[in-house]
Amino acid sequence: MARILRLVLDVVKLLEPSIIEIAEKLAELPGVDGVNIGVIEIDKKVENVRITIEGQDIPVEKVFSLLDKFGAAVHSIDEVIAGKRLVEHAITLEEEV
Amino acid sequence: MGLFSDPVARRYFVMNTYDGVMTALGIIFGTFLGNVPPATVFKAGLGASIAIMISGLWGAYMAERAERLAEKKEMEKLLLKPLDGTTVEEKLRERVLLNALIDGLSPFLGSLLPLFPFLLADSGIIGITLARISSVIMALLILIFLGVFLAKISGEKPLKRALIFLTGGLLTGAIVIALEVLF
Repeated sequence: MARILRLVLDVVKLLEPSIIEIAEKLAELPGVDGVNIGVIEIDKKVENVRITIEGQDIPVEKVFSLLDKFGAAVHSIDEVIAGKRLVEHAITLEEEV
Repeated sequence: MGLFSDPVARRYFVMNTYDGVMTALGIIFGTFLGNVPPATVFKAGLGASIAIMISGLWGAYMAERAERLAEKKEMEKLLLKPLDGTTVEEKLRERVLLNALIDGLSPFLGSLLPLFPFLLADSGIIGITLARISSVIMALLILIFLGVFLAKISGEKPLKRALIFLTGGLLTGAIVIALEVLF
């Protein structure tokens, strides 16, 4: 099966555990090279964050179960890159205009 | 999780240790003028300490459990998913247990510690007068400690907070002894 190289998730989580704790735990997963978590929106008790994970072989199931364990809800999978190398989104002529 | 990182736990600790010390002071001053044997004072204090410990454990456990369950339900509503088996649920459960323990053990220790001199007096190690004086001093020292502890949280002057706590203890003594003299 092809390897997942990048995963971008839109997640809603409680303010605790912090994004630092979640980033550390995600980065410790085998096959993960780096993690970026950015806050999109912050509310009184919850926050909407975007999680970007890059690696040589991201264990997607483990990522989801870890987020589930932390009580975080994955709203959507916003981007996936799979294969042998990172393929970035190609900008079409329409998008350029 | 630090023992006093939760403001609720800190509040329970201060309020209930204070309750315990004041209970002990009530017993110590209540038996000040009468010819009450030290063993009786200690046993009465021990009985009261156990009662307030159980009251604290049970009361706080039930109240905290209800609060945390409500908090969990609210969180589940916000996330649109159940939180069973998550670290969030685990932490909420830990907080309930920790707060119940603090709520039960603080008044127990707060009331039992000042009564120890009576145990020594019962064994004949010290005299009853010394036991009474050292018990009151121990109780007042715990009150000072509570004042300093609170001042550390609020960033205020420790002396003022300690004096306010101390006034409560001395007021108890004055009222109880006045009542003893009157009746």
